[in-house]
Amino acid sequence: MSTLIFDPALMYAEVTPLISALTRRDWAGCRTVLDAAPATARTRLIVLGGEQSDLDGFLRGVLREAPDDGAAAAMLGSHLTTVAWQIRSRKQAQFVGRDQFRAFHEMLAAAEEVLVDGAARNPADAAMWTARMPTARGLELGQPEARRRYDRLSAVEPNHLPAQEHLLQQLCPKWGGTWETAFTFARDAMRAAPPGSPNAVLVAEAHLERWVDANGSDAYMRSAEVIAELHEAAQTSIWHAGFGRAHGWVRVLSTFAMVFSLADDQPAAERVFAALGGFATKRPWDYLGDPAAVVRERRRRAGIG
Amino acid sequence: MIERIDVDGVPALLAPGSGQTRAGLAFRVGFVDEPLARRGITHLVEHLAPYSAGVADYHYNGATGVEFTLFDMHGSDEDVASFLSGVCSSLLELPMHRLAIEKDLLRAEANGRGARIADDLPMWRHGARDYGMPGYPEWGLAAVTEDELHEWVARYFTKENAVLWVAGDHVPEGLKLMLPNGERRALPTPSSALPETPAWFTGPSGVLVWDALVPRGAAAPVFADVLERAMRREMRQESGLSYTVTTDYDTLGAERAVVTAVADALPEKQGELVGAFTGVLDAMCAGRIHETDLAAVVKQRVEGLEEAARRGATVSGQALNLLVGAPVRDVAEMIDEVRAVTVAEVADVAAAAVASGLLRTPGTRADWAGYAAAPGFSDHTVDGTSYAALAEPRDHLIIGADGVSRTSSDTTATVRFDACSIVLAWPDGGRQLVGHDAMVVTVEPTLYADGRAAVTRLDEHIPAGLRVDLPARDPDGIPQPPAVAVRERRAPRDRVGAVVGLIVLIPLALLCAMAAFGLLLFITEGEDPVYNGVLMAIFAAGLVVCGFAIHRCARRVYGR
Amino acid sequence: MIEQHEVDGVPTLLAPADGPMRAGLVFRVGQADETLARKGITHLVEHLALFSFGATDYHYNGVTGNAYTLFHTQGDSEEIATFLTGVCASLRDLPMTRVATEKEILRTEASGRGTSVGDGLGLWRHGARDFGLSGYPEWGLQSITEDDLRSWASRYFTRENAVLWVVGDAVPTGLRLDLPAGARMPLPQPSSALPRTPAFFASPSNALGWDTVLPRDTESAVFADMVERRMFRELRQEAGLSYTVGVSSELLTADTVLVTAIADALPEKQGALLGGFVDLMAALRVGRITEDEVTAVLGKRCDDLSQAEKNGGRLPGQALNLLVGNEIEQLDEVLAQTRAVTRDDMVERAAEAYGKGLLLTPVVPGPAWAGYAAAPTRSEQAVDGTAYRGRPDGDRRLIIGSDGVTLADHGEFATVRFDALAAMLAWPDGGRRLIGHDAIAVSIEPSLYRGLSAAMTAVDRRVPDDLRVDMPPRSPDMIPSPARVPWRRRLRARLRVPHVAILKLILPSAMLSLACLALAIGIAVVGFTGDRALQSVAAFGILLVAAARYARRARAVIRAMR
Repeated sequence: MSTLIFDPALMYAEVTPLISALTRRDWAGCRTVLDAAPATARTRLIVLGGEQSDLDGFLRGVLREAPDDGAAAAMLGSHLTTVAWQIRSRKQAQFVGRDQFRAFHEMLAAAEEVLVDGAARNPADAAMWTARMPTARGLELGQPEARRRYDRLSAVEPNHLPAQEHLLQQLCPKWGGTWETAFTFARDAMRAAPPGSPNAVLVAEAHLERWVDANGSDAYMRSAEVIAELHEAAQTSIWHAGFGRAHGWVRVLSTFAMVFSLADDQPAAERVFAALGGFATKRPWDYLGDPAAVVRERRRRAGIG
Repeated sequence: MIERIDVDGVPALLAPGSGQTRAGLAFRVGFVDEPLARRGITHLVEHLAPYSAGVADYHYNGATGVEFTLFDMHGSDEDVASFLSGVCSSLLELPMHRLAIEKDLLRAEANGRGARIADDLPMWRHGARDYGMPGYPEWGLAAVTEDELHEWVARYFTKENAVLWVAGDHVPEGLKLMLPNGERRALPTPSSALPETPAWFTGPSGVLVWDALVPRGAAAPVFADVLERAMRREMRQESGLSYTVTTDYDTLGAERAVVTAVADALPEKQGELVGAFTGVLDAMCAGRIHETDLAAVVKQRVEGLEEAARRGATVSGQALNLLVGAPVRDVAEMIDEVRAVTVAEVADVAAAAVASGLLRTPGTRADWAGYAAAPGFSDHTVDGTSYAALAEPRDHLIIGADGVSRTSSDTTATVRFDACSIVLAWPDGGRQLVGHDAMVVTVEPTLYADGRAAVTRLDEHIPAGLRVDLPARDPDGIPQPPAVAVRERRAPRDRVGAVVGLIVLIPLALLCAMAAFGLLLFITEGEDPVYNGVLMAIFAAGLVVCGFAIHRCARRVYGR
Repeated sequence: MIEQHEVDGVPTLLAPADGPMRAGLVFRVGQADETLARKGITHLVEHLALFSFGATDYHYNGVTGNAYTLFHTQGDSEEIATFLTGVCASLRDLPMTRVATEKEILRTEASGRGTSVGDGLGLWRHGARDFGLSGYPEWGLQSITEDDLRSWASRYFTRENAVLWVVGDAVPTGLRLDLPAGARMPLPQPSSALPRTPAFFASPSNALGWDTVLPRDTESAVFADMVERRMFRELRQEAGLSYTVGVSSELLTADTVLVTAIADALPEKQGALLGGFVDLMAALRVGRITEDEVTAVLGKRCDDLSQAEKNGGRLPGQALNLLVGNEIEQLDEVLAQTRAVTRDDMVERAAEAYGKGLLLTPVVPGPAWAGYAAAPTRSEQAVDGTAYRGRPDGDRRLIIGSDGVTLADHGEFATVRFDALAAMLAWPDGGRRLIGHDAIAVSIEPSLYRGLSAAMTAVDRRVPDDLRVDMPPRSPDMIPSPARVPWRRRLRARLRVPHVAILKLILPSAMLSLACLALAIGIAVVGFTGDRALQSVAAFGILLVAAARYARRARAVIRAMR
């Protein structure tokens, strides 16, 4: 049995230099990595960087020196947002204690203050607007505001998958949307992106959310219409000749692997697992329990050792 | 002096004006041309057209009116020419990517504007067609498609159906009116929903509104102004009854005009409004018109015309005259006519106005003043399947192949499919039909026995093109049958009672059951079988009573 | 070119222009000079002064603003002279026979007029004094006496406190302005009810409003135009969030202006409008302003100014300028100043404007997330004094002390001190409403507190007559009375157990225990009579364990829900 690789540093070459520059507190080094990356990769790298601990003082220092540095503002905002969601600890809202909730909101407000300023200075920074999507959701600013932020972003950077993933979450009923708007958005995003882009994964994600909402009902994923739509989505993205292994591809393939596996479409799942090699991401597999164990089990079912 | 010329096939009027060049392009299309199911389409075109002209830094104005749609602009020759040329070219190719945003903006505009005071008079007078349209919300916006917009523009925004006016020395250099060919669209004949006039109906409290149809001419606007002065004197100055007293004058087609009057009052004093207002009108009919009022009005109007002529502002009105086939007039001529208006002429207009009047009272009656009640109900019902209302089984909804009726013990509302203006449809099954006579029938499936079936049946018969699907309503906005509502309102207190009942009753029932069963075992062995038998019967009866009570309580706690 | 003249001691501005002749007589008095308890007195004087022209031949109008009152007319030279001379005569000798009727007309006018967004902003920025008064109804009307009117008119409607402007070729010949002598009244000092800015408050409204205080100069005027242009572009054209956007400026003191921006929106779009406006302000604050933008705004402003000069539109503003003690500005000066405005000036103005801003939004929660402070809705402190318990809600207390009154509700205070009282409304049924200078209000309904009725005379005695407003009787259903709350609801409120928990958890567990009890009695009955007792003990035990487990779970869930 091959070993599974969950570490993004082993998937994407840019990650190691970025993290080590961050650890050295070398902002110029970070900027070298970030400035060289294309928009989607840059956004994902900024989020990844923001997940490192104790960045608050360092990044605020950077911003004091250079208030117009969009990457620093976006990473600081993203970092504070990550801390906020850690406080909230991903439990369902009614079981989160009142003090915990206040701390969560205060931390998000701190993130949003950094991001409002950052977006004012860098209105064309896709990472900034992406970072403002989860703050809007956590602060419960509502559907129209989330939509407005996404519209601002898509005016400068259409088909920006990291932001689309957030908007899709927002459009789901658990955040005050409806299935109709969520699926319409996912399908429109799929059609708007050029063939071979990863954006069709949104359709798979929408089905996954629907499946979670139906308490993990197998029947939902196994219905003929859902499977047909998943295939259509895979054809325009991961199975398209133009699909490249840009930053984030493992997550995209993992999502497809999971939906095909849930749909019990083992040949399709096998094809995706094979393309993944030994790579995997924690999300979305953690819906099913411990990702490593789940991936092994699902790979076995698909006939891959 | 107004000069008639032709610019790119569009008839044009040129008049001297002072200051910057002002120019406007008017089309003979407005609310009256819209079907109710596409109400708002002209306004949408008017919003889309100037977009490409880059707008924010221009002094431009677009307006959609009852009979006309206008674009006007003042500024340098260059700005005016590029604005109007830009409007024409974007009419040829509407910026459809703006469609969703402009629809949102139109909804925001309507929301901010609110209802105007006299909004509902046209629909009472004309019904839900042509001249009744101004009173209706822009219900059709949700349904307007790109194709329909193209058709609408091709039909109405054409060379033959347009007129250009310029207040300045010359037509601005570089002005190109690239419009498609078409034909002049005549105004629709006003339909009527009033069997007799003068008529009245009741409206919201605190304000009286009245309108009337009078022949167009120099005396009609003079009448409107004299009426306002008389109202101001009698209703505000002398009695302190009203604060706002205004009248308004608007042309209707080439031969008629509408005069509107509004007067407000505090709710505790509104009972006097009808009497005070009809008193003012009657006095004018009888020729009791102050000479000083007439003289003052004539003087003001003449001054207004002179000033407007100096600025070149009369030419826009003359351009509209040209569009409806009314004569294009010279200011001097108009001034002479106003000067010639006599008290007798004003009294004649007043008499015509009273005879054709429609009065909206602040909740009080007006039949004592000789006004007929405007019809608020239909006089017939359709044949078809009948559905009883849950709240009041004597009220019915009837759905037939010809139309829909709603009946209650004393009222009937019918909308026939062949005389239907719009069907609004909500995803929850709610429907609202508006007939040509402005009659409204709402179908709420929640309020009728078998209401879902009624809606399905209704949907089969809805004529094509009339249905407008609206977004989901707020759940609080969906009516619930009163019986359910009452039960839910009572629920919290009742439920606690029922819970307490269950807690006490269930063990009691168990006790009864056990005692009865025990006694049954001993009934033969005991010393006194009769005594045991009676005791057992009592317990058995207790068990039945408890069981029944438990059933009732359980129903109340867990619903049906 | 604006010329300065004098007519009967009244400074006069004259400028030729296109169109008919117009004139306005403006006095330095307005709502901001009034007190809450007598609000409406200036408006009443304005109505009385115009009464004699009721149905005459003039185009005329009267306007009562915050800082000024204007009588305006249009016509030929003779008409203007007659009108203005007549107004002055009426002001000298107000037609007191009309007072009752005009009060009624003012009430009708008020009932037909909604409150504006700007009024709400004023109330929250300034409190229940001076420039905040426009947000309040004209409660004082009924209490205004003829003497009040006379002293008000003789204090404010004087020769020294007026300026005349005439758009035309010459001052009308027959014009006589026979006004009493007096003194120029300075503008009231704007008070503040905001401890911190930028601030926000949430209030039901169909629009978003924002205002700020800036120096009164050309830069601020250009800045206001730039904000309006941005709002039009970003909020209307690009995002389609708002249909009507507008920015206006109003004189606040001799050297500051209040700039107010308003944008309407559909109810469902209010959240996005707030976000859009916050971003727009943030972009201005950080100085993201382009040269092109400033050039476009300057160009349009210069055009508008020249146009205004031609049609006399600059005169009323210049008259106000003169009235508050500033110099007249000629067009070429203003144009030169305007053309000299740079991008850097705008950046500086933007930062200042943001820092002093107050934002009104119907959206809850407001933009605390963007660094705006919530405007205070509660008092910091309670007064010392006797506390009266509310009924039926015993947690609510009304404290009456020698310094003021406090309503203490679940640890939050609303305090009105007698030395900072703006007005006390008094109803014949004993109801009182005290409004403090900071706009915080305390309503006292004697029937809703235990033993309060006797203490009310003490409150009434502390309030001077000129702050008391006697209101007309309320209809009986408007007078609150302590609602009778059924004991069951009180019990449940005390236990604070969610309803669903009662139904789903407590009920079954209680039933289960009772069933056990019933079974025990049954067994006891059987036991007394003889055999078969042991067989039932097992069943009884199982049921008891089940009941205990159920009860434990119930407790856990109820805890989580609290």
